[in-house]
Amino acid sequence: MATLPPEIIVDILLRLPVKALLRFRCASKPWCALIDGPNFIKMHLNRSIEHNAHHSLILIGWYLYSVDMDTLDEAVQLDHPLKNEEFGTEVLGSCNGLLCLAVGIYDIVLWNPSTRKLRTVPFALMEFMMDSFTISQFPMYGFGYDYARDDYKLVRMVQLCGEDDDSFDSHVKVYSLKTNSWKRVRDCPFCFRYEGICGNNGMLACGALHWLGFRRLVSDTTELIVAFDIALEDYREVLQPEYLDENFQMSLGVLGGCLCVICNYHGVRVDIWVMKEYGVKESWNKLFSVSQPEASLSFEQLRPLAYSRSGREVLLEQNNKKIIWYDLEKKRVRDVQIHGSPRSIKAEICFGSLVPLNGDGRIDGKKQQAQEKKKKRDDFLSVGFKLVL
Amino acid sequence: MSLSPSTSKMLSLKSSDGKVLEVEEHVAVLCETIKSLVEDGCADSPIPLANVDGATLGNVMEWCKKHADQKASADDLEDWDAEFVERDQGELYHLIMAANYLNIKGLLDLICQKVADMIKGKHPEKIREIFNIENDFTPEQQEQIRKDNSWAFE
Repeated sequence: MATLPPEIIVDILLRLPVKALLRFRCASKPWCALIDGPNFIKMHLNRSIEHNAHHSLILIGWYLYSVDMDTLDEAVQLDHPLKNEEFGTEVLGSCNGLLCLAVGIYDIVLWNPSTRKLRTVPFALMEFMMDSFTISQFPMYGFGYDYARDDYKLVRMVQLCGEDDDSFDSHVKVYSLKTNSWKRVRDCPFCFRYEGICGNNGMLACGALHWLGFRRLVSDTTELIVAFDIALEDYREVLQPEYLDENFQMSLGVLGGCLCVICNYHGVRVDIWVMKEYGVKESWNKLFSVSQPEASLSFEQLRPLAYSRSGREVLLEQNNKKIIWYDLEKKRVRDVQIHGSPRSIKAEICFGSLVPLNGDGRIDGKKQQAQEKKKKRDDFLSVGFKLVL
Repeated sequence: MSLSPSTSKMLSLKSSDGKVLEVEEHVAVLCETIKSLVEDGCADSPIPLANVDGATLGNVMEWCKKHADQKASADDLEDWDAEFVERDQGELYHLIMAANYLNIKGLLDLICQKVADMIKGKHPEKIREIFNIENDFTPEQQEQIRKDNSWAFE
């Protein structure tokens, strides 16, 4: 392979899993610089997403487990930074190979399981801690990527109820990985009920996080899809499909990067709708419908996770208990036996990526401090110039 | 321009070591480089391919012939490809260079994936040997980089 052109070398390296790339940083300075470069990191991630490669299923029980998506054979326990015996870990979101993990409301970290790099999210005071509002529920979170700023953001909504039962305040704060700080953004004009069967983490699709919400807490029970645009930091409603029969329980999901609506006609069937073109109402398409007798276990909950590599099957999480394949052509359900998986499971998909967190690592931390110093100096200089002008 | 097998004429390709290969046009045009020549009407005489030796050209055309066969199913092609790439490093290298020069995306993709599968479990020392890379790190730098991700070497 003596004289392969550089673009071919890149083409080959883009196909490798993160673990191999971390080893090959040792090969030479140019290889190290290439693999660490932001362009390569993005190309590698995009290729993995496009080819459905290097992704794993994260199973969330008391501990976290990773399962290779290509084989789906064995659950390997993840040695993550919040792991402890006393409290279970929640996954607040998964985006571009980064997981947002939490234990309670105080300990939140961003973690890249492929590089094992970590960033601790500072705690942000909740408004109810400062004044005497009644808190109606635990905070809701969503984690995603800001395309406009090349930044990762964690969104936290805290809903406060007024005294007349129908008024509410939804306070929203956004944490940015780049600035490593929280800021309050405009209050959310929608309200939420803490009864979603799907957990309350925002569903990430097309640069926005999605929750099911309402216009009023009591007097308007029409369920809406509420979107928070991560780049614009603003809210909008996503129009829903034209359902023929509205007697179902609704939840949200994401499949292949597209927003999904899951309509559960309890005891009868579950319909899965996919929004092929984001924001276009006409593009809602009923991908499939699973009748109750087709599955051995009743569908209290069904959530789509990923397409198979061929695209002919969809991996689903059933009732927080099992993982199943649904064959789109044969319209049949098939159980997946994962050795060593926890009894109660929620599942997330996580891509293997080199996306850096530039956080607690010693060298990166120094760099960050230097940047902050420079920023302070720049701010100082810009103030100085204003004075002169 | 119709390039269906029934109307396909023969093209002659001349390798770097002077070997001439007669190939059906609908097979040869899987190479974008040759396709452009045919479309521009510059493909009359034996087409000189200065960067591809005869043995490699034969292998490349064998791949093109299989992939030009419209009767082959996707599963069939996948199995055939898997067998096709069972070659030593030298042959793979020549195939990559030829696929790149002749601009055959499918073949380039196949061989790059094969090389990636081949190297993904290897250690950096072996990678340097395969790609003929000079180690320009000092031992201290090398140790530090290794330490950054020591678990990846387990």
